[in-house]
Amino acid sequence: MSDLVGLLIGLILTLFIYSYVVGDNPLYRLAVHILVGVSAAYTAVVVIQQIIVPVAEQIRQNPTDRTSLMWGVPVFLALLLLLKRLPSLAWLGNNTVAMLLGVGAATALLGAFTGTLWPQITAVPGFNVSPFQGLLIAILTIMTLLSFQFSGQIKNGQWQLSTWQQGITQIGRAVLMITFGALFAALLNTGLILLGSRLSYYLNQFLQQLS
Amino acid sequence: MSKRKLPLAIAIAFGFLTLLGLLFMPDLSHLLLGWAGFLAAVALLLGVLNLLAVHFGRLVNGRNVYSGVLVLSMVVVFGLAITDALSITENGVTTVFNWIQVPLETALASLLAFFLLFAGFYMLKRQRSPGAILFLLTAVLLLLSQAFTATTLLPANIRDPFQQVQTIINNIIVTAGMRGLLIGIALGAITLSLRLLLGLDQPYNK
Repeated sequence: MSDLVGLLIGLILTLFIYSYVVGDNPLYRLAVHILVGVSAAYTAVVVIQQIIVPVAEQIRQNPTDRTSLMWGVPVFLALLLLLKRLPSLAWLGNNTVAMLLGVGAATALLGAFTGTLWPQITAVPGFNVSPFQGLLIAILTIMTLLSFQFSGQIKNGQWQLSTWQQGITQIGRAVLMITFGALFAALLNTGLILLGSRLSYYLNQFLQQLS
Repeated sequence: MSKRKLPLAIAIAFGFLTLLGLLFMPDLSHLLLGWAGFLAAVALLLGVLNLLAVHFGRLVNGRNVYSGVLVLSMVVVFGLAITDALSITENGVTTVFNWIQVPLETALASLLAFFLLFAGFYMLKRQRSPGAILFLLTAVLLLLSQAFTATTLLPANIRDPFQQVQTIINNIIVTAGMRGLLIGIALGAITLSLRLLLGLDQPYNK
């Protein structure tokens, strides 16, 4: 019985969302607001259960332990973050944001270098490529990067790219457009597969319930 | 130390300590990342509470029905989390997740197909530049070739050319384009991180 109730709620909400196909309407907005409310609250519950509670338990069980004492620093910084609600003391909360950004920037720096930049420069494609194809990929990659070039020379009082820069930029942008077109096709395919699987899921579930 | 210099010093100090830890001292980086994770969790909680407060205000002052629905959804999930913790209910939050959040998210994701189709038509109607035409031509060609590859109804001499064009586009042009984009994004992330670590950008002081 509870399965059927869950299924019906899910189906009704799914239809509310699909009603957007005929235009923005109150049912769609209602469903979206429910989604925002539930997902925000669910995220908060998970964060409390998985991150806040374990730290609180650790401090409660061994308050004088070295690890517990070390947690005093982020707890203090968290309290400073709360002060951002008070206009006269809001600047103290900036220290917490600064700490988060400092740690985040360092992690992003190493992550971008070791996780993206270096592998993308050194990686060989997973499929068989001839030396000519490899060279072509390298040249097109460089042209794609060079197409993000917005500085040039002043000619007749206007900023202009030189002729060779214009040529490279056009080829690079063509490569980008083809890439975006391929991504668009892949996303469209994914969306259609999801739509089909969702509809077949409800159909199968209802047939099961009926039988 | 002034109100602006203290956050700057904290950002630079924690940034370089994290960098040092990630490169040479795993224990230090583990500690700092744990702290950052905890603070990010607290910041997220404050954000959720702020969302609740803003919509509660709209409900009370403006009688906004949608805000009321949002507040009610949040209160129900929080309430179920409390009753779950007190063992009054069992898996209440998980049930809400499975009954409401999963269908809504999946429906929104599957609606992506419609959004993309509409966007494609709008693009064709409003912006007929060479780039837009190349974009749509590639998309249509790849969709057709994927459809032709999936079917056995068409003879091979029609399917094969589409398959070959698809292979060339995916293996050479898209690989190059994606690689260019990823390298560009990584270079941007590195530049931004360095500017933050050197104190040239101070978003926390705004």
